[in-house]
Amino acid sequence: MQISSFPSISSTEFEEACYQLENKFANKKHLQNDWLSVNVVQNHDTKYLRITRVLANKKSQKSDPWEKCESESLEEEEEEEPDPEEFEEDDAEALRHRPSDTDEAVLEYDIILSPSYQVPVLYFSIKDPLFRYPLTTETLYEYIIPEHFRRQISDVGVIGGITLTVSSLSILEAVLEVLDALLKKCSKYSLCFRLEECV
Amino acid sequence: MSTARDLAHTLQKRVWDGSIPLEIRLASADCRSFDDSDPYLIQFPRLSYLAFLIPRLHAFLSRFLIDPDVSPTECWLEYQGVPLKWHYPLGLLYDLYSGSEPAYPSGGTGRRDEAADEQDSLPWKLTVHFTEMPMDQLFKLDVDGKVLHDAFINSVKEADFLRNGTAKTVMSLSKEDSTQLWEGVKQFRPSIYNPINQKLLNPQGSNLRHLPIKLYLPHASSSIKDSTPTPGSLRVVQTPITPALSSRQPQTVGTALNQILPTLFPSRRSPLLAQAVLHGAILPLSTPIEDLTRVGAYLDGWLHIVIVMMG
Repeated sequence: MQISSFPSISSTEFEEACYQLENKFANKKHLQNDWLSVNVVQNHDTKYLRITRVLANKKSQKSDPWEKCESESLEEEEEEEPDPEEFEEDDAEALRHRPSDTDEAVLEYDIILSPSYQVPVLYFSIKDPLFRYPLTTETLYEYIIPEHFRRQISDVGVIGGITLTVSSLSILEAVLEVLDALLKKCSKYSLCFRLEECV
Repeated sequence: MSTARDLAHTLQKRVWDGSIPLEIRLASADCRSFDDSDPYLIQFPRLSYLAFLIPRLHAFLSRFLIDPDVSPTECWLEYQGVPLKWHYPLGLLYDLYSGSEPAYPSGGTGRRDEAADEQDSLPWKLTVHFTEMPMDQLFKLDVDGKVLHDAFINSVKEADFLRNGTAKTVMSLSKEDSTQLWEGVKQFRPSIYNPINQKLLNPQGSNLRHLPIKLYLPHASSSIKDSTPTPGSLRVVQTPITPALSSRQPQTVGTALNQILPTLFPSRRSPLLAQAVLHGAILPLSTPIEDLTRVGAYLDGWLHIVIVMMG
């Protein structure tokens, strides 16, 4: 796929890239277990790409003792029943609630063509039935941005590389890392998201 | 001619002086005396951001709060169930949600008596909450004001990029200038804000490429399946708009709207289905849009125009 006015990308080119990525994922999704879905979404006259994955819990959740206990038990390869006495002081509501698949938080990456910058921009949002991840910079850097990119992104320019309104990452390797692993030889598609130089 | 410059200066001052009386009451769910707290009354600038009120609101209402230790960062405002976004200036929020009739150009006819309409809609009655912030619709502010600053400067950067094809001007502002710009916004003082904003509007060696315009269509239903419309849902539309047409004629509000929303604005000269509202006033379609951005932009450099249906 050619991009006629690099680094800008037209809406037609952007849509084509989105559909090609959607198709590529459909063919290769069985090779991985990180991403849940890749879909082209239409909203009025605009199309964009939505990638979803389960949000990994990178540190123990002190507010959710059941989940902590389960992850520890898996690491030790032993079956341990959580000790109810350990949680007597906890909120009774939390005790009655047991984690299940439906309680998983889902991370949504929306890749949208910016009408201002004419390049793809990346939005993050978290859909969590238990509201454990407030929409703050801390959540972004702790749970979403890979550790080896945090310093680079936070040090970019006056505003940093990410804001809570528009996630116009100046470094998109966090996404490309996974994209490349998934798509292997599709470096021409990674170009679509390497347009940070113009901003 | 000094006349044109004087007119521009007068218009800019009128825009800066625009303000809305607010009556803010504490939500009964957060109030120890149910709904018997004192209202907070203030005349607040249209161009400014409601987030700047939070410290004063929290201090004023703390004696009424069920939980007086609640952090000010838990504060959020709503109008008739619609959470008010922190990064939208007050004037935009009012044009979007108040239901107030906009002012018509002299000689135009509004649908209702203007005085009666003002009585109904002013002061604008808002509700402040300190619990159960709708996290899917609002971002949480921080105590240092960095979140709002971040959102503001990002909007300034985007406007700069649209105008010049590069965000170099704002990205290369010195720390002092960047701080001064934000101080000018926080304190709402044009003497502090304008010198830096002028640097952004007049970069050396750069021609104006596009104009920073966003159009807001309230109550638009989403075309995404299975989505539940949220209160105050709206559609934000934006397309790069050049200062002049290909015929070298200046771009007007009418030509721009005809390009961006041809279904709602089939005529470039006469509004048939909808009107454009900025700072509470109907925009004549003949208004040259480059001049409008210079005198009527909000503090982030954008024309935030609300589209209202006629009839």
